[in-house]
Amino acid sequence: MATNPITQDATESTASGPNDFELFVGCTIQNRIPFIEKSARYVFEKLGITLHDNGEFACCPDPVGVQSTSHDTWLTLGARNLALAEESNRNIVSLCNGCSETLKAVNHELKEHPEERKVVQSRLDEIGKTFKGSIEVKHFIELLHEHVGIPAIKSLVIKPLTGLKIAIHPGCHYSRPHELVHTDDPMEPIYPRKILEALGATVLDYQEENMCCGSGVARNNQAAADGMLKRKYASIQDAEADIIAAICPSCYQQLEVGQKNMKKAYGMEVKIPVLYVTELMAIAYGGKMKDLGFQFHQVKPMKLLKEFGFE
Amino acid sequence: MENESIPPESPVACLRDDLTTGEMGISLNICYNCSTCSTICPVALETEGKFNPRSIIQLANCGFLERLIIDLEPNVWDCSMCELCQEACPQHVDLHGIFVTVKNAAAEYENIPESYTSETGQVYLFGKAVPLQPAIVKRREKLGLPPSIDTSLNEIQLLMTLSGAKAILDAVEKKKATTEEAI
Repeated sequence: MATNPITQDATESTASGPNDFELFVGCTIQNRIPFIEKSARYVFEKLGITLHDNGEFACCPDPVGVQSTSHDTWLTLGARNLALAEESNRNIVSLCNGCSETLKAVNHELKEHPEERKVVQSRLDEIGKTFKGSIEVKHFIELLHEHVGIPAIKSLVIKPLTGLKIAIHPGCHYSRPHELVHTDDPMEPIYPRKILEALGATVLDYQEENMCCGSGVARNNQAAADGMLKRKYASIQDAEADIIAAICPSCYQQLEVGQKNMKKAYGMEVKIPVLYVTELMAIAYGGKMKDLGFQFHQVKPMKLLKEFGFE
Repeated sequence: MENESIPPESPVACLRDDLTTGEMGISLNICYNCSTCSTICPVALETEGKFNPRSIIQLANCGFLERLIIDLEPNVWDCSMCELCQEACPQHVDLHGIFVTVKNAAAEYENIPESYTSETGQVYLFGKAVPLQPAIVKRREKLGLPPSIDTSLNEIQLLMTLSGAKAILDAVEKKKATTEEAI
């Protein structure tokens, strides 16, 4: 297994090994679409990564909703989550674009701006917590690509995704703003693609791959969000994708629910199952769709996947 | 920043300070109006330019702050936060930071969509943006997942009070009640 020098440095002086991480599940996955958490736990266990739960974690908080309401509150609650993970001396792995952006950006901002850090720390003092800036935050895709590595990901495949045509939707906050998150190429991310290719899937190029799912603008302007999704789906249909792959719960929900909206708004028929990258990994590693909770998807994927030989 | 417990006398005045001093002031000043941000913005395309990042930057730069945060013309809340403008800007203007600052100032005038305050309100009430439902408790069990544990809510509520979000939530609630009464 490839080792990541950053991860190793951060954990060297602790009781935890380089394969131990604090799992930051995030509100949406934990309390709305938990089958995604199931697939992530399944995959990381197979890969020899130990995920540690921390019941004290609160909302990351959301980089769109909470940060736009109050940047100060966003910084403060984010610092509390980081301080909790620091107590365990383990780096965080996040299953969500939004959580990873928040936790990375708060970590960055507090380390770079001592004045802001002083103010935030004065609030944390009230609850007996300290932000030290001693840990790293990783998006799960980044952890898979950089820490586990493509050869190790590939070595566990027993049921390759051969013939399955996948359109990847990376989502905005996975790689942008790049100076805050340092994840992947900010405009054309490649790690999710390399992971799915290692599973044997055919990853398609499509025009609107890097366009936003519209979940942010849908909060204030549904028509604009629908228009964006229409362009996105049309381009996915042009590429003849069987499946859309997502790496963010907010995008995942928007891309599923949006299919119904297309019918209402434009009379446009869209029926393309949306799967998380960890779900696709799990079935490639021999996981059973029912055990993984695929029946809980809104756009049902099981019939299609059975045609490709998955159980 | 030091006196965050004292409500600012005027959000417009505070916004003016934020946008004319420090890193953000410098960042705004180096915009040379090339419009790359508006060309790449997916919402600008959908709204035929009615919303576009350049107009927000221009108004901020020229000091038309009341238009931005009181009139919402153009409406900063149409930003999807996709951060494409931030990446594409040839001058590396901090559009992300400027937009967050403008949105926060609009929120101080209770000019914030309910979709935002309801989410922030959930975090205040439950510590999570999505509270746990009985159906999901069962589903988690069925999937063999560990139970979803509640965080120390008293800590979250104290921090949200000290850092300003609670005051915004209260002001929005009060405004809503007054408006409903008037109807």
